[in-house]
Amino acid sequence: MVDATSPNGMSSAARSVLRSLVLTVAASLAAWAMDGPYALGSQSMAYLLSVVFAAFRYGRLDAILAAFLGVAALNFLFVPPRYTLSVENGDYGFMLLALLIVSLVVSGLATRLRSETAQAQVRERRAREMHALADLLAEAGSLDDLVLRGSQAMRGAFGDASVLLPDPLGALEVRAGLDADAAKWVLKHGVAIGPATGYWPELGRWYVPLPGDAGTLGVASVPAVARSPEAMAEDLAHLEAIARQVGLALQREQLARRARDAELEARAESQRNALLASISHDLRTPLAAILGAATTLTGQKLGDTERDTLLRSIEDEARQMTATAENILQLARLTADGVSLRRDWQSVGEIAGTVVGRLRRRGEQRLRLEIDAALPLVEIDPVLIEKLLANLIDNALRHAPGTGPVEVRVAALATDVEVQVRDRGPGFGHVDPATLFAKFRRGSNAAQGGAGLGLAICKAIVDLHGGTIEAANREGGGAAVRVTLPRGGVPPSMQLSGVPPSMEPGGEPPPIEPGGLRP
Amino acid sequence: MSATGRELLVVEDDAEIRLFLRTALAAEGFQVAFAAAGAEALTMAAHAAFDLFIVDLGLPDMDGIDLVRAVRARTQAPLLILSAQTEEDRKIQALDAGADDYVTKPFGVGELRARIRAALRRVGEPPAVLELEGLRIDLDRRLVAHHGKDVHLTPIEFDLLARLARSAGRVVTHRQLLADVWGPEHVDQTHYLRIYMAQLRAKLEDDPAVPRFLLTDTGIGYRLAAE
Repeated sequence: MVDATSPNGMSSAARSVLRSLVLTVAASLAAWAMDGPYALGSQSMAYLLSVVFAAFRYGRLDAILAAFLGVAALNFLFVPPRYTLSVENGDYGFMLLALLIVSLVVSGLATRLRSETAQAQVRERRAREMHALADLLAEAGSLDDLVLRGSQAMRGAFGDASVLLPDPLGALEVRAGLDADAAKWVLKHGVAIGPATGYWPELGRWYVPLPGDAGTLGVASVPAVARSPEAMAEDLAHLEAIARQVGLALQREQLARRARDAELEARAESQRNALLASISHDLRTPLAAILGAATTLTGQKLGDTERDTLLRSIEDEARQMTATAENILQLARLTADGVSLRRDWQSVGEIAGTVVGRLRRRGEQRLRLEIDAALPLVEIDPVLIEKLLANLIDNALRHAPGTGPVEVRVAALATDVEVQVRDRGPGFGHVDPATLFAKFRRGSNAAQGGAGLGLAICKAIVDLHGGTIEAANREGGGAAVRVTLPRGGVPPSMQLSGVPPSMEPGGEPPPIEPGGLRP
Repeated sequence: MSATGRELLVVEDDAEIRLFLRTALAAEGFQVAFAAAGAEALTMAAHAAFDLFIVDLGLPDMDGIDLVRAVRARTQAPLLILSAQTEEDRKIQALDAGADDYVTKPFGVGELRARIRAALRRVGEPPAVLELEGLRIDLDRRLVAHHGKDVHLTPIEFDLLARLARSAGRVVTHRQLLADVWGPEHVDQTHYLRIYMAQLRAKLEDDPAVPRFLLTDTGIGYRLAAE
C-alpha cells in the first residue's frame, strides 16, 4: 500500500508537477543567462539536463513532466517567434521534437537505472536480513519464541505480519482481520496466494505457506503493497524466502521436540520397568518364603518350634507384602496430578512413637527412640508422615544386621522439625546417597529388596510437605537418613493466647480448659 | 468374655475372607452368619438379633457407610468395619456413622479377636473401674493410679482419659473426643488433643514417647489399650 499523501497533504503527483515546474524554471533561468544568437543548442541542453536531473533524482513522472515542460518553455521563451508557442520554421520544429524524444528516452533510461539501483539496495538489505534471520531463528528458545522472531522479521520487511500455526489436530485459528478461508487454503495446498501470485489476486494480503519437508507447517500473511509488477514479484519472493526460513526453523523445532518426547518416553519407560522389577522382586521374595513355609507345614511332621518358626515366617512375609502393596498404591497416589495433603496440627514425635510402638509390639527390640522435650506441633498430613517414618525405619531395620540398634531421633530446629533414622548396617555402599531418592532407584545392597519403592515414596511425601530428605553414610559404618519438615506457624488458638505450641509435658495450657479455669 | 453362643453377622463379599473368618470365628465359639451384600445383610438383620456385626466397607450393592447407618437405625449391637488400606476418610465416616471400631485389611485373627472382644465389652454397663497392668482408672471416683501411686489429673485430662476408658480397646475419633470432652464447637481443634494426650502420657506412661496405654490411630483418633 502506498501512502498517497505526504504529511503536508500534497499528493505525490502534485509534488511531481511542482518539482518539474521548479526544474523547468531553473533551466529557463540558465537558458536566459546564455541567451544570444546561436545559443539555442546550449539552451536546449539546459532543459535536457533538467530532465536527466529529474529522472535520477525524482523518478519517471517528474522526468516526463520536465521533458514536456522544458520543450514547451524552450519553444515559448527562445524559439523564434519568441513568446509564442508557434514555430516559424521546420528546423526548429525538428529540434524541439528531437529534444522531446531525447528527453523522454534519457528519462526512461535514467529512471530505470535509478530504480535498478534502488532495487539492488533493497535486495542487498534483504539478503542481509535473511542472513541475520537464520541466526535469529536458530537462537529461538521455544516454539512461541520462534513464531515471535519469524513474525518480527516479516513485520520488519512488510510492516505487519501474522504467523498462524495449526493446532495438533490440524485446525487453524485465524485472528480477526485475516481471511480464514485463504489461510486454510494455503495450509492445505502449500501455495502462496494474493496479488501477483496468480491465485486469489483480489486479496489485499499475501498468504504464504511455511513449508516443511512433509507438508505445510503453517501460514504467514503480510499486507501486499501495490507496486510495479516486478517490485511486487520481488516482495513476494522475499516473503517466501522468509517463510521458507521460518518453515525450516519450525521443522527443526518439531524434530527436536519429537526427539525430546521420545527421550522422555524412553526414560519414563525405563522408570516403569525399574518400578515393575522392584515391585516384582518385592512381591516374589516374600511369596517364595510363604509358599516354602506353607508347603513345609502341610507336607511334613514337624516339631512345635519348627512349626511356630514357619508360621511366624509366613506372617512376617505376608506383612511385608502388605507393606509393598500399600507402597505401590501410595506411590501411584503421590505421583498423580493434583495430590492433596490432609494437613492437621500434629506432633511428629507422637507419630514416631506410634510407629516404634507398633513395631515393638510386633517383637522388634532394636529401636531406640529419642524425642526432644519441647517439640512444636507442625501442620502435616499425619497418615503420610507415618508412612514416611514407617518406611525409613523399616528400611533401616532390614539393612541393620543382627542386633544392631536403629536410632530414631526427632528434634526441633529453628525453622524445621528434624527426624533422623540411623543404623549400623552396611550403609549405602558405592551408591551416591544424593541420588538415592530418585524415583525407583535401588541401593547396591538391594538383596533385601524394597528400598527403591519405599525411598521413592519417602521423597514424594517430603517434597509434598516442602521438606528435605538426605542420606549419608555414617562415620564408623551404617546409614543415616535425615528428614526436615518446615515448622510453619503455630495452631490458631494458641497464637491468640500466647501459649508456646510446645509438647512439653507438665505445662498446663490454660486456653483449652473451659472458662479459662486452671485446675 | 465368653464367645459361646454369640451370634455374629459378617457382611463380606470376598469368599476367601468369608472362609477364613468362618474358620477363625467358629474356633472362638461364635455362631457366624454371612451375607455377601448389603441388602442381604439388612434382610438377615431384620429376622434375627445378632450380637455383633462385621461389615466390609466395599460392598457390591451399597456403600458400606450407608449399611452402617441402616444397621444403627435398627440396633445398638456392636459393629466393626473391615476396610482397605489408605481409606482413613472412609473409616472416620463409618466410625462417626456409628461403627464401634475398624480392622484394616489385611488383618491377623489376633487383631480381629481383640477388636471383637473390646466391642462386645461395650454391651452392658461399662465397668466403674478399669484395671490395666500398671494403670487403674476409677471412673466413678475420678481417681487414677499408676503402678499403685495416685496420679493427679486436671479435670480435662481426666475427662479425656475417662472418655477413652469408656470405649476401652476401641478407637475414638478425634471428632468424638473433642465433642465429648470440649464440646461440639471444638471439633476442629485437633491440636488440643495432641497437647492433652502428651500430658496424659507424661503422667501415665512408663515411656511417654512410646505409649503402651494411650495409643494413637494416626489420622483417625485415639484408643486406650484394653488388655
